[in-house]
Amino acid sequence: MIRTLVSRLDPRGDRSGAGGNRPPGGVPREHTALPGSFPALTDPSPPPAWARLRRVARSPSYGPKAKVRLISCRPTDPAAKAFEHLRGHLLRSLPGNRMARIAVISPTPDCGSTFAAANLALSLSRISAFRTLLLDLNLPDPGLARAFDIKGTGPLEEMLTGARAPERHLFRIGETLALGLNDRPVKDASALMQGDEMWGVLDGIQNTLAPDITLIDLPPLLRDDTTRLVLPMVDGVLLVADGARTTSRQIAECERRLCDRAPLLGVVLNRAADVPSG
Amino acid sequence: MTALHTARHLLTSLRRRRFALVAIALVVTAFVLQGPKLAVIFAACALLLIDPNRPTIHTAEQMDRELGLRPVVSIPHFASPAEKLRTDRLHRFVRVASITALLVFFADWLLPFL
Repeated sequence: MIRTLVSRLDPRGDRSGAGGNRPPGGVPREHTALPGSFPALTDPSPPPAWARLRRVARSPSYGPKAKVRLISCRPTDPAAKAFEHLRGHLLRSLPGNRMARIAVISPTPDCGSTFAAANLALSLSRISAFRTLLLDLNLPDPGLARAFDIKGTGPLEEMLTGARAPERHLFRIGETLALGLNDRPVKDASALMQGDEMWGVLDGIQNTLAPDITLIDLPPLLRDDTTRLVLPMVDGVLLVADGARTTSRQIAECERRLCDRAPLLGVVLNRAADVPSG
Repeated sequence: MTALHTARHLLTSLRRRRFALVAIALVVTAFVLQGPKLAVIFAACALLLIDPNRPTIHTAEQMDRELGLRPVVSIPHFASPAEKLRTDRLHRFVRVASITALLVFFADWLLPFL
């Protein structure tokens, strides 16, 4: 499998230095592209393919029909601060290249990986000129379309097999967030995810759209062994644990399976009994 | 002799048909286990079902202590409007069911007062 990330290395190199590529505090400011700040690393003019993506008319709602809590739509929500902190941590932890591909996974189903991926993508999309692509690769049990309360997204399988052009399936919310949603489960998801064809399509999407970060919602790590097998295809992993159902043994097992396959960028404790940190 | 025999037979049969109220039988109107005992047993069973020996990670400090791993963020639980609606309905159902169950369990105590 050909990785395009290596060829898309940041021309300015290391972002971790105190040089001036980073704003004070290390966290990018929202809706601003200050000279020398992290978002300025992004090409301010999006590629034509990105601009051609159809833009949905309505923004993700936080109404009674929302299946998960889209906290990022409500900046006053106390938990929105947690996602701002997570966004800052993720931007600091990104590998030294652009177009990073980050997987959001949980040990078992219903731990909140879809919730975390959706809200993190919305939080990242608030940074101007920082393009975020969110893909629902939890093919056996897709949930992002329900999370955003967007219907009729179509089967993602057609795009992943090359039967449908990505420009026809992907769409944008606002200027900086593109979504690849799926409204039906894929029967033979394991074979599709382990094949070169799907990752070739994803490499092509990253080449043409040039997102600064691609968030991928993957199946639970302890339930689907396919997730472990595709981990080398991502640059980092965010592990989402559920404070109401995840045990320490499950987290330890996830760490063991991640070992030498993908760097663990951080653990998110969802439904925690304590107050949000940061 | 025959008359005497008949008379004795008649007397015996009459005696047999004679009914007398010896004592009022107790009618079981409640469970063998009375209300409080049954409630305690139900509560114990519920506790066993709720906590089936799963040491879940509830807080960041607990994760740090048990795994040496500090979570980046802790997201507190907030219910979405849909979840809130479902929870309210569930709470209402549990409340009504609990009151009904209590009334049934303590019916034998409450009936004399009604």
